[in-house]
Amino acid sequence: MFKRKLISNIMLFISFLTALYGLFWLFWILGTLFVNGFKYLTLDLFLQDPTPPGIEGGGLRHAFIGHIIITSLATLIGVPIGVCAGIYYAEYGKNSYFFMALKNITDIMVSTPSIIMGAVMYALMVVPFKQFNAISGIFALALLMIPVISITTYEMLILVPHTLREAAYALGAYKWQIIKDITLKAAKFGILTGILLGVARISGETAPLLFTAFNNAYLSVDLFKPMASLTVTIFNYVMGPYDYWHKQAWAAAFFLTLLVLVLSLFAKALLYFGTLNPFKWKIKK
Amino acid sequence: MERNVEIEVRNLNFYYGEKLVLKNINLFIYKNKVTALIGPSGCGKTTFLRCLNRMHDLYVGNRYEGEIIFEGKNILNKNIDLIGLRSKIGMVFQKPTPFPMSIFDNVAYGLKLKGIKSSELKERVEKALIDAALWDEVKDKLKESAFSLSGGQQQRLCIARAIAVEPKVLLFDEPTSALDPISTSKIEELIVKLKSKITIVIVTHNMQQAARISDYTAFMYLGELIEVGPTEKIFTTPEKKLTEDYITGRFG
Repeated sequence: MFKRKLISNIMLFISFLTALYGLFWLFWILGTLFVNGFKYLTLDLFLQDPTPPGIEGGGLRHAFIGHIIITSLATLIGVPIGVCAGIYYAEYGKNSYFFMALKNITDIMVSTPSIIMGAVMYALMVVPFKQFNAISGIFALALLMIPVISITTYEMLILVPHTLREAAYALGAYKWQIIKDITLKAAKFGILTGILLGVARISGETAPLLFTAFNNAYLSVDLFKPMASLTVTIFNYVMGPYDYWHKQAWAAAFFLTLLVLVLSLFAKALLYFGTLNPFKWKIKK
Repeated sequence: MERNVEIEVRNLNFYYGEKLVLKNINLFIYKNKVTALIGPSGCGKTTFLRCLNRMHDLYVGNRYEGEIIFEGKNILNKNIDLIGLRSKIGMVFQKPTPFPMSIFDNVAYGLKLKGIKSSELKERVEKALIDAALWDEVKDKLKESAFSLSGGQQQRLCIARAIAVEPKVLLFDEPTSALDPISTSKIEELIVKLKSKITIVIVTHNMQQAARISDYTAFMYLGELIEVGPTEKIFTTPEKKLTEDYITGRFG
């Protein structure tokens, strides 16, 4: 009796230590980011374009705008394709070895190193045009989010009880009507969560943009030219020689982390509470 | 075919893959009567019930042999219109299956599928809910989610949804096995009331239930139809020894 209790306590202590180890680094990183980033967060950062290198001042407006354009267009492309692929896997492909194999490959692609997506798009959309362009970056990010969204959609749809589908069939519904009216409705919060997680995933990516959208020191909204993004700008500024660059990079990194955090929290809230309206959030018992 | 027969089953075999699970079933299902299917677990009651609206077609590897005659046609034919068939032969499941929408929309769903005009919808939904003995409980909250109802109410909602499209036959697959006794008795009353308009086939594990509400009882065992007849006769003077043993609780 005593021995079993001792082993239990030792195990508990070990798992407590490991959890502590992970959390320690996490909070250190977040803490450093907050301490260094928060104080340089100024209005100018969002409203001013960069000054010529070496001259203090300016902001990262070009990168914020570029980042919004790239992320939102990638979302616009990635979401419909991801959701539709998920629907196909869950509702049509289940009896086919081919599509289930494809689904498993998609599952693996969720954790593909993102730089590979960048390399693919570099080969397909940068080399032929002999110029870095925003579109290739948009497609690289879309490609990155499609597996995340399609797998979440698939997982959420197969959670819908089969009897619900059968009940709709028993009323004389066609398959597409059942998907549209019943299963998608039943799984909508889960699917929305997947979309939010997908957006959170791509909004923090640097690697796929490094040699696709590249970067731009000026504000550009031309999709066929290089476009600035927050992540690549942070990367460049951190490597740069100027002190004020480092400060702006800290602030931008802090802002980006906050954004991803908020997106992830909203995704969790949506799944838990079933609504995005904070006034309707009630703790479940 | 006799005029009071709704469905005639002739020499029905059914296979899950290679496995023969229904063996040569022959059965008449009479119009405006309640036919109960009883038998121990795994005897094929539910499998048989799901043949009647071709629910097995949703899954691959299933095969029918024989004939099921409904409205003069063999519904096991490959080219039968399944959508049309299922709007004439409805089904209520073991667990309540409300759709993720409002109470009103749940009942209206089948009607919309049939192309009923929206001006008629309200009236038809109300009628179905009244017929399902649910109207008084939900008339003030038709817009609320169907999940806000209790289990028994959800099951009556599913019945309302099924009868709203005015099917000729309604299949019940153990409709009360997940419900409390009070909800169960409400649904039993409802089934007896519904038979004036609809032919009913019900699978039940509960022999008392079969005795209470059915006009005909079919006893199945290991995929075979052992005995079928008027409920009173099956429960008092069954012809086969096996039926008697099951009825008296000696196995099953």
